[in-house]
Amino acid sequence: MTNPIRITKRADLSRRNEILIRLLAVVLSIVCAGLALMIMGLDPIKIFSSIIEGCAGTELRIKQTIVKAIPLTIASLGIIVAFKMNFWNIGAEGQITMGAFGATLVALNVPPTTPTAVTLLLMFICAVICGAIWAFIPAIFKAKLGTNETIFTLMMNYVAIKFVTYLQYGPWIDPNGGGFPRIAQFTENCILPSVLGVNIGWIFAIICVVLVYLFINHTKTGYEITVVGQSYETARYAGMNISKIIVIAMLISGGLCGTVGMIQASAVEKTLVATIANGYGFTAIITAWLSKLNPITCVFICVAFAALIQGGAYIQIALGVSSAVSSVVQGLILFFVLGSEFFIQYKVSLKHKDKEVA
Amino acid sequence: MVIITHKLNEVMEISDRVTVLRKGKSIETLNTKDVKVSQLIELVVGKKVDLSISKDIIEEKTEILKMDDVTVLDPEGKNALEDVSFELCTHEILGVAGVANSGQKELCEAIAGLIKVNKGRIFFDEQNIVGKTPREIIRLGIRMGFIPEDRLGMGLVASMDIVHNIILKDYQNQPGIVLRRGPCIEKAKRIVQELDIQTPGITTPVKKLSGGNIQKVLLGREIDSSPRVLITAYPVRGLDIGASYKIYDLLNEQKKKGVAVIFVGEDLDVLMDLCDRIMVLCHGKVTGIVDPEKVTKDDIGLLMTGHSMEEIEADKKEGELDD
Repeated sequence: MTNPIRITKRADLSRRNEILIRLLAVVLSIVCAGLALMIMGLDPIKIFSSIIEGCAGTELRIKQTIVKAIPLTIASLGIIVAFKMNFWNIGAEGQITMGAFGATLVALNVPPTTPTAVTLLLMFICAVICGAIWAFIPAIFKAKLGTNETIFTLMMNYVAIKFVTYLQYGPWIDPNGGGFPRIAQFTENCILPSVLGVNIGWIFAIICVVLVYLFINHTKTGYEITVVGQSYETARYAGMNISKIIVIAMLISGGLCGTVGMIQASAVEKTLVATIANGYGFTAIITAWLSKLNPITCVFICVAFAALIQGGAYIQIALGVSSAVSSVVQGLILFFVLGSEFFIQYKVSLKHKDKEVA
Repeated sequence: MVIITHKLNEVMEISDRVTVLRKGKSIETLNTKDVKVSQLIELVVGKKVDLSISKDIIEEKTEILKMDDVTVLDPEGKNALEDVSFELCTHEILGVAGVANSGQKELCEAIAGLIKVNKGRIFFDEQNIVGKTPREIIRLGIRMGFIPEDRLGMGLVASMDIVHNIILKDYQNQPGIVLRRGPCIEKAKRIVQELDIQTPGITTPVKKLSGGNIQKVLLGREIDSSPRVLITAYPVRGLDIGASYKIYDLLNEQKKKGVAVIFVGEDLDVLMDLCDRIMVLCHGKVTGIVDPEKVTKDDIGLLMTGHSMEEIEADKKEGELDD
């Protein structure tokens, strides 16, 4: 029996049809999410309006959305640099955690009288170094021994998280915490200042977007990373030092993720916890991919995702629904948006009618 | 039955009718027995083509590259090249003939610094380049062009456009950390024009071009770097007849300029017509370096299957005695 459905790669898709497919995906995702909510006995209109209200309803909520968009954007940039090289860095979560560890290492050890600017700079440097080291380990193994970076970076996440858990329960436990397993709160000079009511991380994120964009598109190393990502053989042929390029790209990738850890520890949690990365390292893989590895597009995708996260958190509190509800809504939206990529890349047709389905 | 091919002698031998396609249009359908090869070529290319390869013997030759007892092992530890020695001079095209996988790929890549040479030396202008990476070779100021067998997998970045593929050869010589596209855009335009590359523009990804045009981008880039040695591995493989002759002309032009050209080929007729000397490889060993004016195609065929020139000469003498 022959398969009645035929899948072929699209040669060229007009801009109009591409937008149409994407719009269709969003509409379908909302319809499906609505149906799912109705099955759960909830009012879809109310849920959707609450999500929007939750992420943009008041000035405070908009700020909350931006606070969530900051780590997502910077982590996505880190992942973009690695993915440009076809290096599947699934380890952003661990690199963020280690960055936070680096920042905390400084925060817990500087005297409270140190000027804020000096402390923050030291924390920043230490966070970048720790995040970069966490990315360097899988990079050097890949460069020298050809190990699989996907598994390696993924496993490094758990090592980082467990390491911080150990610190939290052991050597770094707050002596004034009454035995509660937590690390002491940062002193005032270790907290990032706010600009326009949101921590200064947003300015930093914008600077990073510009720098990563320039790096990838306008530097020799950025060009080398792209060539290595396309073909090792061509890179070798052109006389590139592949090992060095892999290491440089991953140091940048890990360094960017490290700064996310610093921002989260200093401005959001104001201490170090094992869950500091909060899944941003994984969500950033999706946002990086959806932005087609373009640093500028990535900003918009990350803000949209942050809105979804923030809105989802809001409905739990405001409507008292379980966290599963917002997960279902997020999941369905993702399913359709990612699924639409398939229809943009490929054409599905029925063999006999030869008529386009999507 | 339908056969799609660019080898016209195949068409002449096995088909009953032939349809010529050019640039997406059906040009003409003819009965094979009523048509001559030259007519077919004209239909394929769209204009009259000179089907002769010119060969000017240029006397002023100086040695530029020398391989001395080079042995290269393949990943399984067997000899891919065994004690290969030869010299290459300016103003000549050295052909390399052999059954597929007789060490041609390793020969080219050893010179380009892409694979490990286990034994022996390679001199470029009396400078031993064995053990040097392509980057170090560039740094030494050695100008070498290499058209690898795998064009899109090694010579070019398939998903990048012509400009970014041209930068590949250039960017290492640019000072600073910024990638300068400007000069390469000019160069890309010039190469497209000079080599008559059919492309929607210089920003089209090279994988979208036809085989012949892809090869012209690669060859154009390598020639533009004014190399002193130009290594070409199967440069006309998969190309139509018009593009192939264009490539032969370009190689001849380079030879006249004084470039030392290595031409790894499959078609013995072309090797005989184009090359000043032909080196024959068999199982990684050199079975002979011959002057195409003094040997026949059959002789080269015998060399390719492992016979030595002495054996062939002896057999010939025996044959004459028998007569």
